[in-house]
Amino acid sequence: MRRLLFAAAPVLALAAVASNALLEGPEIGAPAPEFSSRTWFNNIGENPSIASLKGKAVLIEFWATW
Amino acid sequence: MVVIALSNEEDQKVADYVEKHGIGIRVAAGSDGNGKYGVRGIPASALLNAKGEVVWFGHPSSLSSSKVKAALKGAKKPGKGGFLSVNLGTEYGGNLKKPAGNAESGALGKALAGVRKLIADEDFEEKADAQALEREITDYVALLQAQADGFLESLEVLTAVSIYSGLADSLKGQPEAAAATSAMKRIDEDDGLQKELKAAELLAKAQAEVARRGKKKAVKKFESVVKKYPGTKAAARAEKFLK
Repeated sequence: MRRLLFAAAPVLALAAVASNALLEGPEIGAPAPEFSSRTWFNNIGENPSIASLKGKAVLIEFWATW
Repeated sequence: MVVIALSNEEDQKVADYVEKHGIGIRVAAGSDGNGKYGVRGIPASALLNAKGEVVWFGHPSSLSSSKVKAALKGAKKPGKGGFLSVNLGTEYGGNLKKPAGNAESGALGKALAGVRKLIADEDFEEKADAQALEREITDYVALLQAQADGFLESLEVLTAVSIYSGLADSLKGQPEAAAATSAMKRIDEDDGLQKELKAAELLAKAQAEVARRGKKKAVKKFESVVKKYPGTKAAARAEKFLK
């Protein structure tokens, strides 16, 4: 049994990777998920959100300083 | 097209980066966007249409202009009043259409005058709608005023002044203008704040230079902020940049 599990582990891992790849990103055509953020920079007025940006075309950059 | 950037990092890290690279778009720190959008690798971008639907997701370099054009179809342009533009929660018709349009284009005094005239008009029947519109505008003015006060308190004098002066101009003739006008007067009469303001203006020029001509060419400008306005917040920032 143990041996069987060992043999299966890489296969399971691969399957997990494959399904992760498939799950990447939001569903196309579906309503954009709302997000929340602790602090905004360069912003005056309302904090941007999906709700407040409705009616406009929006490009969201997922980004990091590194 | 509205462009925003989301990071899940610490505030200070993001603040330093934004300053150092003279980034002008709106940037968030401590955001949960990566999880909400199933982001597995950075950088990634999502394109949203006017209906708030995701129309594309992927590496920024693979975004095509045809996708952008399609997303822009039927989308409102960002309000021409900049930060003074009120993002109205409701659509207002009839006689309220005009003041609502003024509010959306940042003509706040005009919008308030228009809606208040209607509220005072005995023959006007949609009083509740008019009051709702008035409330949306005054709430937004209060938000901007509070933000400006916050900026002033943390010695972001240049940002504070640009909000106050925008409010004062836009609200001319309405009682809401008073707070912004008096705040500007206070800043005018305060030598310390004036120094901060001038330092911040020079720093903004230096930062614009980074965006335009690169870091190396901007170094002199940052050095002059440090030299001319020692002890200011802008000088401390310039020093950070030069490090």
